[in-house]
Amino acid sequence: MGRYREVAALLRFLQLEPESDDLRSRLIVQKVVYIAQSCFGIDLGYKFKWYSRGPYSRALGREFGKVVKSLKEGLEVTEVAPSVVHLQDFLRELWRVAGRVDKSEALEIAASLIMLCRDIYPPVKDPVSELMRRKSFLKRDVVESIWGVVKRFGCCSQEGAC
Amino acid sequence: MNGLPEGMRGVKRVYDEIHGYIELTKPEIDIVDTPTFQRLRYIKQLASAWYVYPGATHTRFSHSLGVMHIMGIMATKLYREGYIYSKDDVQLLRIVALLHDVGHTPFSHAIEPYYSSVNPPLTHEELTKLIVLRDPYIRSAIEDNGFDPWSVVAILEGRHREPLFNQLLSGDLDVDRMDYLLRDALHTGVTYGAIDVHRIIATITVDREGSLAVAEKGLEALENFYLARLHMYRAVYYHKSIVGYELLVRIIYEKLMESYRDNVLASRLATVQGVRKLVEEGKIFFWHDSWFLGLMVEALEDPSVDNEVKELIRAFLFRRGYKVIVDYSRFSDDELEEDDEEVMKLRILSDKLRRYVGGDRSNVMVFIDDIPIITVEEAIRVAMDDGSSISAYNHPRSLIKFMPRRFHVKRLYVLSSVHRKALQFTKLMQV
Repeated sequence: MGRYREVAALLRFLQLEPESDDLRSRLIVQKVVYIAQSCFGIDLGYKFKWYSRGPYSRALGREFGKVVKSLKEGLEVTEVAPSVVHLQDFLRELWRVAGRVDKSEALEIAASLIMLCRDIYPPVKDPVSELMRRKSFLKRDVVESIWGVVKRFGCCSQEGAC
Repeated sequence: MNGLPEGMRGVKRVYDEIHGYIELTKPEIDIVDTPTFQRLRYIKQLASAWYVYPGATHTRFSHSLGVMHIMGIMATKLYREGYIYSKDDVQLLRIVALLHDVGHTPFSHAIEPYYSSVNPPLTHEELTKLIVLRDPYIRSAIEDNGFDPWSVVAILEGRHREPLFNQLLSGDLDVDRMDYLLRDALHTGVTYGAIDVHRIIATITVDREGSLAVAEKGLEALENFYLARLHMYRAVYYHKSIVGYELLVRIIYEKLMESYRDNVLASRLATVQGVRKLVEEGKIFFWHDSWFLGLMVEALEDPSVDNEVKELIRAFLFRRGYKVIVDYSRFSDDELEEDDEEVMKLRILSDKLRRYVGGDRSNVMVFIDDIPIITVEEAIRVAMDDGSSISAYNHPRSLIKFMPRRFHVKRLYVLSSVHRKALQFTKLMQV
């Protein structure tokens, strides 16, 4: 199975299927895949770089159309690994603490905090302050709540959540 | 514009055909003067494109200097405007730009798949990282000047703490592309590949999210940049004959690495582990286009080398390489499907054609690629007067959204020696 089909299956199970070919949908796909790979050991083989809107994989961006097509073709998801269920728990918790914040924004904050604490060089001591320094328009209490979820799920240890 | 902020001085000037005088600081001179960096003088920027465009003999060396120079101009501008906080960071960015291609193999992208398709793979990006961290000359040149090789690697890998640094080196509108489009357009003579780099730099800024953006007044220069890229992909980077010669070099390299062990250096380069060891010993300075051309000539005279390999070498050296027999290439907005009808057709046809013309499998080759020209979320942003920004793809007055997003290359190649026979076959098959 091509890795983009695995991405499609993951999105279907998590009920995060892209609604259209717009920036928001693309952002959701990017951040979910980053969190799945870095925090839940779901290896889809994408490499991510650190940009102003958080982790981004060029290869994944270029396969977005294939992901959408796989979903339209009626991909069935019958069984998932325990790590995917664990990711689902993480997302439920994320939506809960994020309150009225849009899902794409909550995912962007979570993925950015995870990347800041795991992959960035020179290392960052305080991911929350680092993110707030860059994005002063974000609400600090929302960022701190999301940071709480990230820590609770063990996303900042090198072993990840699994 | 000398690409250095006030208080930073160059210790040497080099004349460049694109940018005029390029200033080099002491850390940069120390890097350039290493045997490992000098290797880039012998690696042509466009591999064997000089078989089609005779002027395209420029090298990775001049391109690397050019990228460093543009990075210096961009970073100095952003430093003056307060988006980059220190002169040391400007110097760090210039060093990274200088080194960004130091891991290219001979004949650049033609030979890279030999190493990137094995397990564990070694791409030119990974080789660049290895050289920065383990090559004794390069590592010393960085450290002795007070810079951290890991910071260089972090920017090369796009995971430096400052996302702006990552974007400057590897984004939709990055310093690498700005130099190679200009340089390749000049040397090939493909004038519609030229870009207005000064206008782009003059209008570049940073939006409130921290992303690079171009002011609205630079929109035309930005459109021209995307158009130039599109033209260069078609006219140069994926030109049918240039791709044909790259395929040929790739096959010859594979065959020589697999079977030709008489040459001491070639035998060490046959594996990823061998390359890694050579890097650590500081001995990759010889690994360039001229070395490989010499190896081909040596193999041609060696009685132990297969006649079929010799035929391929002659085809390369005497410009009797691959010719396109069927070409379904086109622009598209969609990604190329795995089960694309035309791709399947080419594969079936290639099997039949191989049986018809006989001889080595490499007589007939299929070349398929799906090249992204514009990816929606990667498109550079346009800064609006109120401080917000919008993707250039969505700007109401932008031409960019009307450009094709991808270029699908779908071709069937045959070696010149079997071209006539292959033509008879395609007539019979009514292709």
